Amino acid sequence: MKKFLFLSLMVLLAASCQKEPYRDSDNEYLVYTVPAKDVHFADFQTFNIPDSILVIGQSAKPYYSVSPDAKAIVAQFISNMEKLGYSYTSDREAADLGIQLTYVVKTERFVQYYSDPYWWLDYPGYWSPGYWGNWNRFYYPYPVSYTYTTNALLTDMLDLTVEGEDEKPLEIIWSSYIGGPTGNLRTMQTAIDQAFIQSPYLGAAEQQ
Amino acid sequence: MKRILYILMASVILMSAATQANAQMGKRYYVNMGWQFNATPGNDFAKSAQGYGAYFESGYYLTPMLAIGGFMSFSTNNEYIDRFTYTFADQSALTTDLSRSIYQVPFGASLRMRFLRTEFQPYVEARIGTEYSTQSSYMSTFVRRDSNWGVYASPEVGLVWYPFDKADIGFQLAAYYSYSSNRNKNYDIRGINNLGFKLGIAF
Repeated sequence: MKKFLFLSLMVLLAASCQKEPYRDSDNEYLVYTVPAKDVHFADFQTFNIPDSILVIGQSAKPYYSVSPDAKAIVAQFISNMEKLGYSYTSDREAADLGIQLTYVVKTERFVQYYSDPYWWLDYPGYWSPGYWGNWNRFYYPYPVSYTYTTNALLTDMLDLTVEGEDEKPLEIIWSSYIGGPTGNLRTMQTAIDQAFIQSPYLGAAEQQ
Repeated sequence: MKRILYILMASVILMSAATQANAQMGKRYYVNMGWQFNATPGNDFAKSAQGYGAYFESGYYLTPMLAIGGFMSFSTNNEYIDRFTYTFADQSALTTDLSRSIYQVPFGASLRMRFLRTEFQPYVEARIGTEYSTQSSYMSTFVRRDSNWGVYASPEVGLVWYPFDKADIGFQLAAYYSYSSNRNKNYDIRGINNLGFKLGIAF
């Protein structure tokens, strides 16, 4: 009797963990967007976006991808921005807005080394604020956390109209996070469209 | 002669009954455990009816019909939510499908009254205690989890059946309602209602 009781209790204890839900999924990406406070996006007219995507997490060193998929993703951003009335310019010094794209394969190994919540900004090879002009650091005017991110596309939209100064950070005025365990180019393009759909405050003056 | 025969027959019947009674009715304690099927009606966070639970309870009969005891159980209720865009005060927005999950672990004291001391023992029970609960949202590769405590109360009706003459084991079937006062401002949860039934073994 005692043995049976003990055995039953052990079975109960073994089964006493929470039942995780089946990971039902529509196989589309999660899309999160956030703007900086009090930014009037209609004040901007032109934008620039590099023709490559920074990829981090696959190896110790990041690299900039110009693969067909990377080019298609860049083109999707250009298309959405132009639909909103912004004009693409290849001259980044003349652009009002800069857009930089980063694809994070996985972050497990990096969060071990970077306790900073904005670890990706310190990641070796990450986009340099100097690329866009006379800035020496980025600044998020809102809280962002990408800890333990996997298979995620991070987008930063930068305000390049502010005069660059050594001590003045380059402000990121819009971010999007597109992530999920699975995906392909089509679902990524759909997610990019969704990022713009759910950000109705974006748009050049003639569109608003 | 006939009279002696009747006495003997009556003695055999009474002894047989007494033997059965020894198995289940002579003892003053009970131990029940088993599987629990739980539903969370009236809950906007995760409304579902699922059998992801188990229970354990025990008690001691102060009188032949009235017992005090303790209980512990756990259950999980999950619900899948289709893709939707959630907008927030800072103009941030989130589009995703997700799964929501409520995990409940109530435990506390019980008062049980049985109505028969035979092979079939119907009973009513009142329980009071505390409940630990977590509410989780599984989105893509993320999980957002909140936990809280509440006061727990539950009435229950049930039946314990001891079908074996000499073995000290039986079966239990019970139905319950419960309410716990757990609150979660993030999900606008103000109390958790449960309906369910239990199937288990009884000692």
